[in-house]
Amino acid sequence: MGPGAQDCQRLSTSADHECIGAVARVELRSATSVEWADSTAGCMDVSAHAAIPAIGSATGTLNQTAYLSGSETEQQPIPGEPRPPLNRLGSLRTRRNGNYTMTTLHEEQHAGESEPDYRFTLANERTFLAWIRTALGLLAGGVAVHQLVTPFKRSGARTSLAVGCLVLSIVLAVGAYSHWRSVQQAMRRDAPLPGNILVPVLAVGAGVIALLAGAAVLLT
Amino acid sequence: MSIPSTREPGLQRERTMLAWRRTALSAIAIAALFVNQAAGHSGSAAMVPALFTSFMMLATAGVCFWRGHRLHAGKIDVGRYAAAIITAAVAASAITAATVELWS
Repeated sequence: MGPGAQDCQRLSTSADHECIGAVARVELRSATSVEWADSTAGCMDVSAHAAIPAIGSATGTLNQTAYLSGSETEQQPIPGEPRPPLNRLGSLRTRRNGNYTMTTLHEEQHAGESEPDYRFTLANERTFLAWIRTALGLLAGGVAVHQLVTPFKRSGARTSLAVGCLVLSIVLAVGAYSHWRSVQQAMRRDAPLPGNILVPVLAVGAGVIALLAGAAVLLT
Repeated sequence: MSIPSTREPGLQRERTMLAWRRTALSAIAIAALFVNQAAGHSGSAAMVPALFTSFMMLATAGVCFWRGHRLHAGKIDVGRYAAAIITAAVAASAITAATVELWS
């Protein structure tokens, strides 16, 4: 966890429409002391009571550029307005004086790498968790086969079913982690997302386990 | 019109927090399964791997709750260590269970 590299905080404030597009550069020296270093774009009153709770929930961010705008205009773009430019990942690029502004915090890590929008980081995390839950389900399946299923005539059938579930669980857990890492890396480099080999692996694995179970039942 | 200052589009943090919580609940359910298995083998050596895996699943649940709580508190970062820990815990549990299955 680099200092402040992953911290993004979008400040959706109660600033009125005169403040749309105002850019406030906020420097957080510590979690509690807030210093306004530079306030531009003619927004006179960026009220502290609106901004400080959101800033306070950010972690130890060193430098944060906040784009304040009315939040309902972000949810529903005005018809006729040009769409904000998208990069290959579909991430919204910040526009200083438009209605689609949002906060991103980019801190260069290596040459050509920057932290993606936090929403993509979180979406990647949720995908990883979905795969981990699949792996956990297969782990439970492997144990349940061992505990609950009465032994087939061929004793190897039950063992191979359980071990098949458990091996697939291991493959999915490790694959989920490596996929999560490679997606995160690709997003940092603004590169195309890698394909997901886990989907065919899970499909084939589940099919093989189902065939094994079917064969075991039929041969009993 | 006053808009809550913490509102964000898509409720990304809440969704991610709930995903961690779901994962934690799954891990707790599997831990209960392993504890049940350990109780079935109480007193014998077969109890050890079952207890180990149930401990692993409880540790996974703990990490998931911690991470979800962190997100809920508004600390957004890349959950690198949490992801690595729960992957290792799931893989270790599955390897242990497979070893027990093949030996017994």
